Amino acid sequence: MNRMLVTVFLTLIAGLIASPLRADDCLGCHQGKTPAAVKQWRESAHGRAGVGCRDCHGSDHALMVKGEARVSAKQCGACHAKAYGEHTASRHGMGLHSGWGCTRSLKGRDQRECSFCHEPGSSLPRSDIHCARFLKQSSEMGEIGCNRCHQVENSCASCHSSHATDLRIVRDPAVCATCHMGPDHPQWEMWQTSRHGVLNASMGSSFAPNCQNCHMGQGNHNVSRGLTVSSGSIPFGAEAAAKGRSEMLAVCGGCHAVAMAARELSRGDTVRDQGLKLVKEAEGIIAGLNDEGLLDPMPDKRPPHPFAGSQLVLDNQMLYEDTSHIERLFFKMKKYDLAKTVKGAYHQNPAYTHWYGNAELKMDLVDIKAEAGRLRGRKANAVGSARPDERRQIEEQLELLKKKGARGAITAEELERERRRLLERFLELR
Amino acid sequence: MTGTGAKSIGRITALLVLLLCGACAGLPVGGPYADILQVRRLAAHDRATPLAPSPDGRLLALVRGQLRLLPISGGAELALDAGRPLALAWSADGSRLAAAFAAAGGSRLAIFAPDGSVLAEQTVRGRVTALSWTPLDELVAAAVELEQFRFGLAYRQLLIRRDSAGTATAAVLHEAMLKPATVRSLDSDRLAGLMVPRFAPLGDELIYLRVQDPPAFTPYRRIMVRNLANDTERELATVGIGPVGIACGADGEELVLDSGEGRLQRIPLWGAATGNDVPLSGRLTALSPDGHYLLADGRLLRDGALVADFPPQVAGLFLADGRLLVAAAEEIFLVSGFAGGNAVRNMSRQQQEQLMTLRAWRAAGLISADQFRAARERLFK
Repeated sequence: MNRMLVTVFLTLIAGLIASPLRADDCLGCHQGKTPAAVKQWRESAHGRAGVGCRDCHGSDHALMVKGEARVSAKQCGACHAKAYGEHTASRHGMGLHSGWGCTRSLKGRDQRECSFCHEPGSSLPRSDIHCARFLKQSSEMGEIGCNRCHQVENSCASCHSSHATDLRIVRDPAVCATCHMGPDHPQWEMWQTSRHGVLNASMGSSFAPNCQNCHMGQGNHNVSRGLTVSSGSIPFGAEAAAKGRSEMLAVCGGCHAVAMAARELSRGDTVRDQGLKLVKEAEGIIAGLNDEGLLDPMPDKRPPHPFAGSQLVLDNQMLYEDTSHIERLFFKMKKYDLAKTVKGAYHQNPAYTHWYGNAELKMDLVDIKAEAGRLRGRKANAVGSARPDERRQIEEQLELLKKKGARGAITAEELERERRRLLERFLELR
Repeated sequence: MTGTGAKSIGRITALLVLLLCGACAGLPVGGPYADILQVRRLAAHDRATPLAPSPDGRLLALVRGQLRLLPISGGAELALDAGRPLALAWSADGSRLAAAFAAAGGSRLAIFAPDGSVLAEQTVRGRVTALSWTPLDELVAAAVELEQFRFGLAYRQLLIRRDSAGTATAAVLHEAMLKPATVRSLDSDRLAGLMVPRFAPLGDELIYLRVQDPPAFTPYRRIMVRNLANDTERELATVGIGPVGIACGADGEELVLDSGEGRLQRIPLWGAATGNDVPLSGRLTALSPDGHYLLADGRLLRDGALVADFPPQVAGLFLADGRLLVAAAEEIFLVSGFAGGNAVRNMSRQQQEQLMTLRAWRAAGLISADQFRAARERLFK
């Protein structure tokens, strides 16, 4: 008899341990421990539909306590397949890999770049992160300053909140502001003070569009539809650009004459190209200084770049720390001021396009040229008053030409012509 | 008796005479132009020792018991050093003779004036195998170090540079580990001759061989050219570890390679291959300054056509003026009278320096091969 009672008791206990947790199993504790989460869930569509805690969080409570049971976008996608599919096709869907920026739509892209994010043959991004700036931060800084925004790749809660499903949350453009603001992508500030933003604030979305109206029409989660440039403002190839433009014009055409919208966006394209030209000029100046060994410090005299080691990096992986002063100026120019110029133009904000953007771009170029002059002048002073070795000078110029030729900064014809000129000068040294 | 048979008997007879006579006064010469050649015995010398004629063709450094200087036109010999040199080289102006001798822990470098006085002496690493001067008064030497391990033989090639102040530095050009089986397959002569470095006439570039002896494969050698001004290198060819004949063209622009395949390859040191191979029977011994004459297995050929026949085992060396030194057994002969062995371009020191600079720039890819050629032509106008 005793043995039977013990067996029944143990069976009951085992049953309790083994039985799956239901929502009401969690509420008993979490009503007290996380009351806001419980309230939001109760009032949510999930709560009404009986989608319980386990359905999203799983049943490993130990993992949850450790904070390792966050609900991934893929889990949401099990029910919300359409939204998930649209999301993964967009830039949001690669938020954790955006240090490099997806290059698939760019002209003449280097096929090797795909391997930064993808295993061969796979369209899914790898789990490791490829952003040099992120890798330079402490884990705490990386979590707060980088992941909180970039986790949008894998967390629907980035926009939707964790437990509330009220669509008013995500239909409010302010939900975009947490991330899309600040010196490098101030879309929130630009939109707010643009005609669209001001009119939207006073008259509502039926009068003027907000972020969602233009970039997530009919709730489409592919926020990249309608775009014609990369996150670094580099224009797409012709086919991808045409597709993006036609998507955006379809949106603009909801209110405006398409011809007018096309004209406005085309003006934005021109402003973009003008800005890129300035950046390219600055980039050439810095690359030239690097060729001459004049950066202070040179790349091989600083902590190595996480990916490029001792090489100069001026592309999307450039750093804002452990660089020379002129590179710091260039970082601001390319990462902040070009972004403001281009995004300001596309968001129809005159002040951002001009004063925050283009004017700063040009002043940055002034600063960069001045710094380049200072670095060159320093070299000239270091040589002193001794008569320069002409042969050595010619050789240095030939070396610079070779480097310029190697990075495509001059054409083959120019290279040939300059070499001939220098050889002529050399042969006259008799 | 057929013509071929008669010729063979003639060569064998000549060889027998040489062998039997020892220090015989005459050099047997055959071939279609034998009767117009002038052959003069210069001196006796020790077999398989270096010879170095001075740039002006007046003096010959040779070894007979010790290092000696011989006036080529006649006159008394001058004894320089009791040692037996491993390599010899005259400076471009003929004012100095560098010699390398075996020494404990390396090689002894000595620099002599033509009057026999010792200008400098020092010990350097490794066993020197080749010497050269540059127009900038730098003495460069190729040397070898061998280190035996249980698992193989470390074969280390060194480049030694001695500046005008006398400071010598050594850098490792290449190091290889030879498998024990490879070492056993080579006799000491072949092991010593595994790397046959050649300096370009200006002394600014070195042709040398890198031996590769991978664990599970047959050993082979890569023929490399290296510009000494900027250490730029380029691979020219690969060959086995059998004997090869290597010469640098007199203008320093091409490698002439006899890899035992019955043809002579001319490979530009820094340009694209021209495919101008010529058939060659025999092994290349020497190449004339103008590139038209070569000595192979005792046969003097001009552009592939036979000029004269010497005994097959002779060694040879062309003088700057195109005359030919022939070392037959223990005798040295001077052969002249054949047309076309033009002297190398006489260059001023400034021209030499400018040419060296152009060659360095070409090697480093700072100017193209075409631009180099055009500039060189301008230099000598």
